[in-house]
Amino acid sequence: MNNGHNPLLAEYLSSFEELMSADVYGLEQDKKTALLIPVLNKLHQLHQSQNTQYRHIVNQQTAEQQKMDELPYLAVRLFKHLNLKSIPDAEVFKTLQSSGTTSQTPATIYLDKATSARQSKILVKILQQRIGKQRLPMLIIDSPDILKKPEFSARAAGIQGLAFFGRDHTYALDQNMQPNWPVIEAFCQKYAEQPVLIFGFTFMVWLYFIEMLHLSGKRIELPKGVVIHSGGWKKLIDQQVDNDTFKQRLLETTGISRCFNFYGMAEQVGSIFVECEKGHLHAPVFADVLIRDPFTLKPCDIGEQGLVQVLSALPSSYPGHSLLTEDLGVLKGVDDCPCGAKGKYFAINGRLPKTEVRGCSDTHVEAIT
Amino acid sequence: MTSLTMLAPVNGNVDVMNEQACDFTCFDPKVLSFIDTLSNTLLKDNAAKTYPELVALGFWLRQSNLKKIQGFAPEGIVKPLGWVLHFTPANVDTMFIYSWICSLLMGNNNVIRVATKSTELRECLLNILNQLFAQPEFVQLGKRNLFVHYHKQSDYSAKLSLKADARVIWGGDESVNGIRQLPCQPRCRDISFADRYSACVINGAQLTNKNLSKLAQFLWQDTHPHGQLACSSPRLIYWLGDTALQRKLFQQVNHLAAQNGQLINALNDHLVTSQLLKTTGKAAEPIIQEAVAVIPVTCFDDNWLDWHLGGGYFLLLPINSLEDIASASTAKLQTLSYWGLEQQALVKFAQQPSIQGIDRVVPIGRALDFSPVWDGYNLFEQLSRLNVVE
Repeated sequence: MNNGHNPLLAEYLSSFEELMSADVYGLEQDKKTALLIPVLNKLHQLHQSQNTQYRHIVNQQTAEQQKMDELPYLAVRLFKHLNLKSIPDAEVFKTLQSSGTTSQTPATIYLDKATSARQSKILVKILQQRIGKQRLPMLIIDSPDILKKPEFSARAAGIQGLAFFGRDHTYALDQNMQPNWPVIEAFCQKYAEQPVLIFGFTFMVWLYFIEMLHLSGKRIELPKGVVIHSGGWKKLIDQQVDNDTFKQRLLETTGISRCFNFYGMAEQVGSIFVECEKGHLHAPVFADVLIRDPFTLKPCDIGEQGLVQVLSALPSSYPGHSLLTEDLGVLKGVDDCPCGAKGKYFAINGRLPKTEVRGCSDTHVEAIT
Repeated sequence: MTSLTMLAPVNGNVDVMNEQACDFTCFDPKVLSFIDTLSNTLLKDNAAKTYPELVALGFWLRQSNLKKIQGFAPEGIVKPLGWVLHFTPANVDTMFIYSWICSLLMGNNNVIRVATKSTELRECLLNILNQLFAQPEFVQLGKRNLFVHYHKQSDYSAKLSLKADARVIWGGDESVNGIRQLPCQPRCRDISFADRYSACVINGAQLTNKNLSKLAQFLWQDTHPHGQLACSSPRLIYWLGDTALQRKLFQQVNHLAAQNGQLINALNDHLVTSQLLKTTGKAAEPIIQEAVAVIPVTCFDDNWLDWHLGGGYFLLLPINSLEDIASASTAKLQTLSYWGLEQQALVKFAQQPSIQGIDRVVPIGRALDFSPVWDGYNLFEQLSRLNVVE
């Protein structure tokens, strides 16, 4: 396993370069597919040559696929059970752990320098479409302690990734996850008339920021601000908070009207799916999305709910370029979003109900520990 | 979370554990009359009838079956032990009844700790028990047969253990070891049922287009209840000989599973398990992966069971002779159900000392039939005292 002289890696990198020069949301689906499919085929071959487990799963399938839905995919849960990596241990630059807020076992993702750099680069390219190229004063809805924890969580990774877009990074919460009002108020006073960036995880932005403002009767004014948020909606859905409510309450408490959710995961950092002004999640040129019928795994038509498969041109250090997630979503359309972006746009509706592992093992043991 | 909930009878009280006396003898007529009423209620109750597991329980409790299993009871002067504390499993909704009935038949008093997850089936069963315990003739029996629930983290397991004359511990290995560490009376007996798995063996040479659907039905009958998570449901299939009709058989099982209503997460779970197994290099492409999944494997490893999520997932291992099972199974193998084989051949096979596991050999279709002899123990003997008078 010597990546330095691997011709498959070289081929992948050269086809990836072509993607890099394409417009992020400008290509129609067929033109985008023509660019993306060769990259995904190369990744498929690369991981087969570098990863025995992946090779066993796909049964040494070497034929190049012409259609997105014919590419093999891994169940995303595999990353919770196995250490899937396509690089020698010496080349592991960083390991990412999924946040594990709802799941007990976190997933572990192995990154080499090249993949990690590619992720940051693409994240920047995608988010610049919404935020612009200028670095903005940044309010982070989290505690500064999050970066100090020894394990590198997806939450910390997300903050670090987004920090690139900001300057004067200000943490809005204290160690106890309570709003640090003096800090927040100082930030608002300083940048009241300027564009600012606010970033946080969806449930935290809602629970620790918007709701705290609302409940304490406070109101801040950042009319030129833009909010970027991501992460599961489960906790919000439990409280019957949908995206519209989220945006409405944000506007009421902060005066911010530009708010973009994005769909992404620790298993595919970088190639994220960002919401447009019309409220639809869009696949950028570096990624694609497919919806599969949970009862047959066959591709669904537009408007049919199913399991979300995500494809990414980025990961060369771990076999995560084609993953079947446990999220339920629906394809809204292709090439015709009123926002003007081309390609596929979709919505996430929730998660597959969790398997109750009712095995013998959960009867009683905690009584003793 | 330190309180104890009395599930049945509603007015029960665990303080009665301080009273040592037992009211009943072994196979006491009053107990038999109670069980008969329970059986009739289960078979007639409109809610109970919708659960195949409860119907099966109703049949198992019928007088004719009790007479049959009485054959397992020790002969001579047999007396109850006293208070039997049951820690029942979370994966099999009705197991707490089987283990309790065996103990009750021996005349014991019982406290049954019902596992955490409340299911509709369990609610239905507890409702029926409460109805019966409210009847004047069963009030006394109810006072000393208590169905309780308390949080895992509470100290009730420890408190109740101190008063128990026997503990019946169903669990995973960790739970069993954990409970056995709790102090108990010096003469307290522990009857432990730890992690097991089960398999079936199918003789392909006997399979015809005519008998195939019957076998599929029996196999699904052993698999479907409790989501295939009961220890005695087969997860591994040893296939002997001719494979011509193999695919057709599994398609038929799949058809039955689809009719039962496929869960929305079933196929994704199958996919996860299949991909995990394939990474070992010992598993091929699944023969079928829809409502059920069947994946050919070249060997078997206990550890793979951690990946098995139930819901109709089978590992398929081809064998050339029954003897191959000895090397392709482990001590954790509990039930071997069979089809298309002579009982005589199986008796000979089961006697081999080289087989570490296998405590039960039964025809396919009867894997879930509970017997007072379970995991190699005779519960009737374990839950009674045998007196000698010379």
